[in-house]
Amino acid sequence: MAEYLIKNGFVFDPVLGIKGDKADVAIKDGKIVETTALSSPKVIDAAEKTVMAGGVDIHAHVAGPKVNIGRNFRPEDKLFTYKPKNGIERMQGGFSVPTTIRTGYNYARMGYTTVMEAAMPPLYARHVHEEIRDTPILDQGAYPVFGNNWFVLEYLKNHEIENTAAYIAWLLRVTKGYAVKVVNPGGTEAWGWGLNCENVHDPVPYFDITPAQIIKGLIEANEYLGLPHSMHMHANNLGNPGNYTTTLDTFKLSEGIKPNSKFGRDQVMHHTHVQFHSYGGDSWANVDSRTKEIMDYVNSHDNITIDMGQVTLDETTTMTADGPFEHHLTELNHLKWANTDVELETGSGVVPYVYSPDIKVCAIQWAIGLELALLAKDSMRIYLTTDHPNAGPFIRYPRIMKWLMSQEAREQQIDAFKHKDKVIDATNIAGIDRELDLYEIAQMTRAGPAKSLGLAHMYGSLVPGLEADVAVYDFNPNEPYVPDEIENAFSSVRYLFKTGVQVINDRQADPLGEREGQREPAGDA
Amino acid sequence: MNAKVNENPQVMRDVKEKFLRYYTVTLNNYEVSGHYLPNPYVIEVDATQ
Repeated sequence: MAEYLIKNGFVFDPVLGIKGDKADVAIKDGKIVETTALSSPKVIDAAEKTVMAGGVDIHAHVAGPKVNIGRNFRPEDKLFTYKPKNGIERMQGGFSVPTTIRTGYNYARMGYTTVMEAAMPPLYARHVHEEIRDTPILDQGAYPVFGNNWFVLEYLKNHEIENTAAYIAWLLRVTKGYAVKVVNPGGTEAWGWGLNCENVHDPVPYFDITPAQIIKGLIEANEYLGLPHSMHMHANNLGNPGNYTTTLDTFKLSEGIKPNSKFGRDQVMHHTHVQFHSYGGDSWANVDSRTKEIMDYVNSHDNITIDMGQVTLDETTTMTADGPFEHHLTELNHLKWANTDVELETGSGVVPYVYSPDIKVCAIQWAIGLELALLAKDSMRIYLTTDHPNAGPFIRYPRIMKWLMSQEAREQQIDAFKHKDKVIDATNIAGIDRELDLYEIAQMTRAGPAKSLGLAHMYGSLVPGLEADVAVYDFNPNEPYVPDEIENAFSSVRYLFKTGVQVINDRQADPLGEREGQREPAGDA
Repeated sequence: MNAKVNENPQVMRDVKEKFLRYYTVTLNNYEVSGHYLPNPYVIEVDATQ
């Protein structure tokens, strides 16, 4: 394989503690190496540019049956978005639910190289893996869902951790899954009877178990196995006013449990898309932000990591294994609805949604997501996501970086809201002047998620020995800039290397960027 | 993930029984074979005790 030397870039690497210093990055045989290990490298001039490891997305819905339902039942999502074949780039289509081809290309354009599919129905795991196979460039894994699985409910009713762990091990092996995902524990099963579990003590019909027992039992089984990632949580009561108390109750179930993993993570629970779980009030008329309560808890408990689920103010397609929530949503917006039950395992729903800046609640949701990141004391424990495509398409990550890095950009957006004053009253965003720097962005998009996933030995940094996933952006952090320059630079990476192969050169797909062969299985790390 | 655990006859019996009784597919038709993963990467943990 070709050797590369990326010279004189401003490097941001939280693992190495490099905060924009000029440094060289060397690539050989698909790995990051010391510069002295190179013999005759191709030199990439990264002067005046930002260099980071490839991005790692801990939570997105990008492959599998519910994604494909979204594609199939929303022809309007494809209107005017098709791009014909161009050079080695294949035909691409779709906006909020893009084709697999566009998914790979668009992540690569943002400098992302690793993406996790966040909810795999075990029975339909084949479909997930077929789409992963057809997604170019990215390394991907998928989380099978366990929170409404009949085996799990029956074992955990009697707190049978060893049996639960044996079942998890079997299911991960046969579905080729990566981690233990939990969606509305017990609630999706209850939806089979037209019911739901709205708090952690709401009993699951027929199974005589509560969500709290499911959550705690799955954390314990996860640690019994010592898996790389922690239990990955989507709590009960998503998207409802006043739900922040359910979220805090869910967090508290992790108290007293210590991680048992050789993969370097510190958390026993990753709670996803916390924006959807941080609402006060008791109706849509008085919903408000409770990010202070949520982040007070997260900041003071280091066995939890979270991701944002940032609303991007776009028209999008919501999709989740939280079947009762999707029914609730279609009753709210009266748009079309798809729903399914997956035998003994889970359920799912899909509903289009328009996050309009003219609607007060959407603007409050926008503020809540940003507040989570801006109130965080440790950016290694909160990650940039949109719960793609639920709160917005992943292609907006650079725009979210702009909002996080620039108070001016946030003020511009707040000024554009139709109900600006009401939004300011219901949230904390207007009183926050913090602006994240690129080091913190690298924590939220590279080093942090890689560590939480237990994959810091492969991704998220430029430490020699790691996968040579490297992104070079046209952005000089030492020069004055207007906010939009952040979004523009991080939307279109100048150079991208995936496992040592140059896949983007001068913002264009590199014709030599074919991914190479099969890796050797890793041992017990 | 390939997590090694002690043999657990109860869980394997439960799996077989649920497939016979409830699933619309057979156990043999459930597993994702290697054919679907042309570029696999396996992480192993050992939870046998």
